Amino acid sequence: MLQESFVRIFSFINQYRSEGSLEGWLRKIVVNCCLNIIRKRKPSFSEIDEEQPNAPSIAPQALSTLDEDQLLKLIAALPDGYRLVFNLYVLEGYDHNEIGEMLNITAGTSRSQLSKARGLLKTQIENLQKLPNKYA
Amino acid sequence: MREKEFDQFFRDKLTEHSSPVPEDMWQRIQGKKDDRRALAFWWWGLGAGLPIIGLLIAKMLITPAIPSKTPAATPATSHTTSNTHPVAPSTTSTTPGRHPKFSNKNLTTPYTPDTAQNTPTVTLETTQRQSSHHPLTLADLKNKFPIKAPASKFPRDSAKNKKTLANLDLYGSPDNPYNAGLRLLIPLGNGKKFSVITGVQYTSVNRKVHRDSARFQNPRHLIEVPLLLSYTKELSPTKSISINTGVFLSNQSSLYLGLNLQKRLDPSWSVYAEPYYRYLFSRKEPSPLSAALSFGVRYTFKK
Repeated sequence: MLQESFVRIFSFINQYRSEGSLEGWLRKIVVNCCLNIIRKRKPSFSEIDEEQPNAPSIAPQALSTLDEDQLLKLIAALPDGYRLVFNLYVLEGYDHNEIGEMLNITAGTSRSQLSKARGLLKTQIENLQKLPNKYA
Repeated sequence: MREKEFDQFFRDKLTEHSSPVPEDMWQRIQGKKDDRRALAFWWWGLGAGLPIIGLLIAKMLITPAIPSKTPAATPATSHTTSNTHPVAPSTTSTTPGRHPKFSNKNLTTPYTPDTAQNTPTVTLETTQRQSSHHPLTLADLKNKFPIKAPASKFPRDSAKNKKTLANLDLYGSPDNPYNAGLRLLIPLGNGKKFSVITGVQYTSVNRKVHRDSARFQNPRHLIEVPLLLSYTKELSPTKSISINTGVFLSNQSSLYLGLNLQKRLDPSWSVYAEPYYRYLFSRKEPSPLSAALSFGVRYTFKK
């Protein structure tokens, strides 16, 4: 994905009009490029309940012990649909309507995927706390 | 922990996160980029070439076959075939093998000297009403058979005849047309995307005229001055593609649209191929639209 993104960046660099930030422009290309690749894989977005009754509550102290690599591993372990929506919503800052348009799903599906992703992450973090050496 | 705090934690941790890039990533990117440019180059070329090839094939299929009138097959002394008429050698003709009737300098009749009798012959295809097996002389043909329809192409009046025959070079099928010339490409501005192309070009179209009574080789010579606007897109450091459009100025001006594919061999020299369409401004031209392929070398002057 990185390779494909850079190829596109260099191919369309003459279209950058210096009106906005270069970083934002690059980020947009990378995100769109990744989405195109992921769309070809046809990830499944299973409909689930909005609420996650079984999601554990995570104490802030538990999170503070996690480093970046551990967080990335946790996110990478999520199912495709969950990971996509979580990345787009939490890290890229898109809202559910935008995510719905990008992934061709409804905003409700996006919300439910995000909720499920959070719940799964919390569960994994809780498990990680119980087995601190697993990801160390 | 609330969801917003949970999200914010990930955002704070990972937004500025950077991962190491594989060492060979740049080579892979460069290779893929070159592959794409090369592919685009050939796709553009294919896209431009296919319609032209299709047009040429269609023209070959549509153009009717010219019936062959082989003088050698008919003895010069024989007058039994109505559509073959021996013609005595002309003493007034300045060009050997040229019939005095068609003495226009642009018109060369395909008289073929009969090796046996040393007498030039010409095949004359008459109209249907003349298709009796009666041997004809040229005088008979003129006096007894006033050909109405062909007369517009071959009037007996000499002045009108010349004028009409001069127009004949617009008819018939082109045979081995070619052109050669020099072009000067002047970039506009610093972007080097837009350029003006001018120069001089010699064009020769040797047309086979097969009207009425004979077949002719009728070359047409043109000195043309191109005035073209060019838009260039660099596909790679060595390959570029340009769209050239404009007019070719001459006594028979034409519209021009070409797609130039260029490959740079070194900083000064390049080779190019340019499939193009031309539309001739002439009401007399039966097929004003033509397509062809030009190619050549280009030298880039250093500043």
